[in-house]
Amino acid sequence: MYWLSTLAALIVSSLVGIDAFAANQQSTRTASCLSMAQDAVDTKITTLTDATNWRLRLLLNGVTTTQGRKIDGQLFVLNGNFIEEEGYEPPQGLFTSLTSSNKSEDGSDEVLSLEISSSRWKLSEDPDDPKDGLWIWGLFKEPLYPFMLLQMETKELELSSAEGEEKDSIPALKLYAQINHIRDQETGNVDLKTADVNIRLLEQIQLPGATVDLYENEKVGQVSFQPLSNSRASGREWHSNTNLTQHSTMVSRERDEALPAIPENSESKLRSASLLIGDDEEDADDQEQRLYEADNIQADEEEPKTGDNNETTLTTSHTSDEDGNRFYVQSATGGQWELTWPIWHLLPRNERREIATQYGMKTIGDFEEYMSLTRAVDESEGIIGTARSGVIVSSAADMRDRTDAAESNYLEIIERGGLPCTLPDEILRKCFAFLPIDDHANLALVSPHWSKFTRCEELYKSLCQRIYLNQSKRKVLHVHKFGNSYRRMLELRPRIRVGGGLYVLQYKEVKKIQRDMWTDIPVGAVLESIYYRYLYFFEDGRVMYALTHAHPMEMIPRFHNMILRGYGSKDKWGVWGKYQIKKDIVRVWATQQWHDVCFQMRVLPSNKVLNYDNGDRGVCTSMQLDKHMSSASGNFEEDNRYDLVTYEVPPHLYFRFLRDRRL
Amino acid sequence: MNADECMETIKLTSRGGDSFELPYAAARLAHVVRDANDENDDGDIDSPEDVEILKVNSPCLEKVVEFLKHYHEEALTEIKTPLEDNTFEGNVKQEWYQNFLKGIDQPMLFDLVTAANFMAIQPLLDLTCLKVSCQLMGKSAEEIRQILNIPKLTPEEEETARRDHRWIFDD
Repeated sequence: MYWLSTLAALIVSSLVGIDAFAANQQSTRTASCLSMAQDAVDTKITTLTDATNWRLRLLLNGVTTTQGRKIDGQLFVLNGNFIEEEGYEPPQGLFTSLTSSNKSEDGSDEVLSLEISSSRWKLSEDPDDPKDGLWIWGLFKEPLYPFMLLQMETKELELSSAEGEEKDSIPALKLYAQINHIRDQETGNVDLKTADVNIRLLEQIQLPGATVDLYENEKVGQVSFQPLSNSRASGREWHSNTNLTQHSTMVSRERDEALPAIPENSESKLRSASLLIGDDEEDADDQEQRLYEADNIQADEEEPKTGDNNETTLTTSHTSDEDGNRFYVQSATGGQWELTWPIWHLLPRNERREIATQYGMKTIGDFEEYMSLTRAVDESEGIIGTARSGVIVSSAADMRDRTDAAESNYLEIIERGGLPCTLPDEILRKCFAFLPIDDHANLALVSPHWSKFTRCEELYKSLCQRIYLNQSKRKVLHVHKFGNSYRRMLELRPRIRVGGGLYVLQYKEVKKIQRDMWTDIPVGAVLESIYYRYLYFFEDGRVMYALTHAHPMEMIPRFHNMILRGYGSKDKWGVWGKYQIKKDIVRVWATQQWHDVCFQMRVLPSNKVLNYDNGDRGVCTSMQLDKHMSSASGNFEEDNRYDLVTYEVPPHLYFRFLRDRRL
Repeated sequence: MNADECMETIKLTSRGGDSFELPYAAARLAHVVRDANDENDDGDIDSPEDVEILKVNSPCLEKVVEFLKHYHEEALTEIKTPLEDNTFEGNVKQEWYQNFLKGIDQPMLFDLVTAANFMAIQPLLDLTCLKVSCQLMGKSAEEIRQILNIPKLTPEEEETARRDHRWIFDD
């Protein structure tokens, strides 16, 4: 009987079990996840984040004090955590000490605390191999860095001394350690082994025309690492895709630090100094530090542009991590969501890609180009007609109030479209005739009552004449090819955007720096250089061209000046030339000081073909560069071989049209 | 007697009844004056008569007369299209004409355009139209609406406008 009842109980329980499993599959899974997370906390995975507090035992025994006394066996204990800085490869960051306590070896109550003035750690694959650090994202599995290079600068420490004696102190030290670093690939648990601590004896060797710093490591002690408790319940690994919480703490922390003043013109220097460094020489470390600071400054400088409420929005927005808008903050003007550009480079690659696709771009590079170009234009008006509607509404309302009091027949006017709409049509037409061609786009959006001027064959005809007769150097328009419709002609026939902005080609390349004994560029450094080609087209067939490193922000005012001073005026970079379009092929000839250049481009009717944007910029705003030639004699005939140079043009180089109201 | 050498002055009378005196040679730039005096193709007239410009009010007519007088001394150089620059000053190089329209308000500008049109003064019409279009140049649709005090488009209207202008918008 007994066995029967147990059997029944078993069956029942198993049935219940199945039932429960079927019904609460979801919840059990969550529960197991939770328990796993609990495990993670319990086993205390140690990481190189602020989640783990580390205790550093620093035993100094070979240090000479200011009085020339040798310190023997002085133990310092430091608590702190390793904080990784985003965006570096290999991973690296700072060691920040939380509290520093000190016990002397024999346990007496002598209290000394060693203060760290600056510190830096970097993971390394092989400190002796200068190529270390050129590991490429995504190509291999994540590398296991077997070493950590730690550098710490300590402040001068006064030693307690008996009365009558002169004050003795440990001088400020620069300590170096190469630590064996083991990270469990599955759990991400980090183990740091005990290592020797060195100071470096510098020796400067004077060579003709240069000085070379040599150093020798001198062992002054030992350092050991011991993970304390996890300060927060989080088992995050240093390489995991960190979310915005970390970015924001990152940003605010970096901002707190006192940063050296940087000259106005620093941006170009910074831009050309995106260096990846891969060795542990002292000057390299310094360089690195400088770059790191420079990076911070750049971030700081850019920050205010997006409005003061960034910080707060940033911190609040990361709490709702899951919605799509987490990378966006509301700009000060309201209504518009703008990307916080400064944190862009901190984002993991896949998230950047996601944003790029969201903006209709095919690649991250395209999106970066788009953003950097758009931001160059004042008020970043890359998009026709759609921007800033929210702001205008309110001010238009204000205006309405004002005019309401002033004009009694206000309603009548507003119905008919304001004062200018009361003008006779022919006058309006005359006014509009002065406008640049592409401004007609805006007119079309202003008032439906203006359709007479913005939507009639007569206007289309005059526009066609303005556009195509000038651009293609023809006398007659063959409108019959477009079904006798000038409108179709405008829609189908490729043209160049004249005035109202310029075409920009941004070209980026990564160069390996030629290293010789006179350069103090660190080993393994790579230089990213950016240059631009600008083309500004006039309606009458003239063109302004510039090849320069100058950002559009700088170049646009230069072009503006050139326009004001008229044809032939000189500029440091800008030169004059002419252009002609045949079907969709544009040729530009420009005379530079040393030779003439000739470009051949193809007008792309729509950006959608390229997946560049969602057609926001309008038609004919991209040109593909097909040919690039130069000739000292200015003769570009095909049979002219003696001084014609044809350059190889990489595929997919595009001139993008950048609207700017100053031009 | 040829009108160009006519030294006599005439009076133009505004809607408000104010009269402005100016040499006939200057005033004949306005076709309305020529017509009133039956000037024939050879420019021969007997003796110029005063003209009433009933459609133009006093402050505006004062400006017009100022323009006519100066134009007689220093003609406005023709405004070339396409425009060289997107500012008024960049296109009109003569200082007097720059100052002529400096600081005048919107209603006055539009009065001037209408007056120039009514009196058929081609150079004044060119100048004022240029001023108007320079105000619109490079502005977004919202800004133009704000400048000209025009109500906002409804979304449907905007949609139609965009669809109708595929030569500019890439929809």
